[in-house]
Amino acid sequence: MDILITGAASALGSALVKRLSACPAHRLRLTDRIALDSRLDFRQSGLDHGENTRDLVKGVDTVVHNPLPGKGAAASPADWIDACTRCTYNLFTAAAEAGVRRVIYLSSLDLFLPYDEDMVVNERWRPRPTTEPAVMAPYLGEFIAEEFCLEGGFDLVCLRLGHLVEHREVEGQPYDPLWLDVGDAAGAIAAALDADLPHFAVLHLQSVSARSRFSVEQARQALGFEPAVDFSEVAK
Amino acid sequence: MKVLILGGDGMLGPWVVEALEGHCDLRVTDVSAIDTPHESMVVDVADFDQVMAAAEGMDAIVNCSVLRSDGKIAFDVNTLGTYNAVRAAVEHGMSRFINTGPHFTVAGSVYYDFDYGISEEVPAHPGTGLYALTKATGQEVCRLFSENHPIHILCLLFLNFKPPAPEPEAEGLDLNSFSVTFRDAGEAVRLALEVDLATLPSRNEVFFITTDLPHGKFSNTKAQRLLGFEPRDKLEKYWRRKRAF
Repeated sequence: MDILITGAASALGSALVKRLSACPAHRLRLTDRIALDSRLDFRQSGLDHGENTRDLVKGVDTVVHNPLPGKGAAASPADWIDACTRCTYNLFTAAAEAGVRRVIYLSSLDLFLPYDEDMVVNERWRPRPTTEPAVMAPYLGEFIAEEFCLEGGFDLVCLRLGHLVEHREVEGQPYDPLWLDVGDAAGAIAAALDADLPHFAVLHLQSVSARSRFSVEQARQALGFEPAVDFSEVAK
Repeated sequence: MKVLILGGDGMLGPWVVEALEGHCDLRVTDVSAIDTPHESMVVDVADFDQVMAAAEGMDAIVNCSVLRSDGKIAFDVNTLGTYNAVRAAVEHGMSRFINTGPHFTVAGSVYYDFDYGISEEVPAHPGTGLYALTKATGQEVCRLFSENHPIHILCLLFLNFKPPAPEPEAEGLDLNSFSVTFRDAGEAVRLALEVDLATLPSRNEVFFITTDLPHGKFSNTKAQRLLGFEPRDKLEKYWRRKRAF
């Protein structure tokens, strides 16, 4: 399978590349806004409108799109909105034109934080994003992605992720009920590449413990998602 | 009421200015300098600081800014620009924001290619066209701000602007089933600025602004009921056979 991974320089991108590059059946193409020293096919790109983005998806079966602006805490509202809307639109336009079969769009479980903590929120509940750019912008990207899926351009798998961490880094920290280990997230994305899913699928991913916030039951059924890290031993 | 108009020199903006003259104190802005008797400023809506400065001292904003074709600027104006404008309204404590856009920000081809009796209340599906999707994303921004902040956002949707009477060769040839004259469109904006917000069902309301047409495709019933919109121009000469007159 030929796979394009955006945001490849991120911690999640790195974990995903590490997992997928071990499989000889996969040919990986990586991209990011910033340079990345890689022995694989890496192409630096801002996902602009034009030939550069069209070249990225040529011959690709599946796109894994992490739409984050890549500046960390320094990202401005304009950075967030531009990365999640315009750049997502450019990539998906190119993907639809190139005949990409499946797109995996990475969003956020923060879209559901306004619900009461005792509500059994799952994938059938309506997102309720705040206007914080880091919350609103990934939702706007979902909105765009769904329109492409609706027009029949490609199958869409929207994975809403909890708060990504390396489990060793959070030892002793106050427990976050949305934590998700980067390795577990990469495993779920890998499973979504060729899972038997409908034309449009939404799945929630986070760690599982007695204190975790959102159900991952649908991801367990669809992807066999069984996170290895529950954080109950490393956090306060 | 002091009203800031963004995109005041575009296609719709001048008609909004005309409709509001005598009713509001206007500050008219666009990305280039405007020849107007009203207070005016040059404002790029993609620049939040410029929008904040333009919104200083205003009671409401009417967003008529739009860019249809350029892949970068369409997002900068229609999506980021709307975010900047609504955020400025919220930060200045305004209670009312009027957004404008095409009807397919809600009712894209999955609706208008197939259905009749299409209302503003359907889930938004603009399709993947650049213009429709960038404006629809801006409208989603409006919805989220109204759900998270104490501001009413009224989105007025238009499509086909026509002169009140057709050229002789255009009589009796039908017209787009979502049509209105510029002067009625401007009047709808005035009504949206004057409506008692307490009478609206929610802080985010979308209105189809079309004249009364017999096609049965779209309806202005909601705008009539909630805004008191009564289009003067029925555009009958476009859609009745010429011999009927």
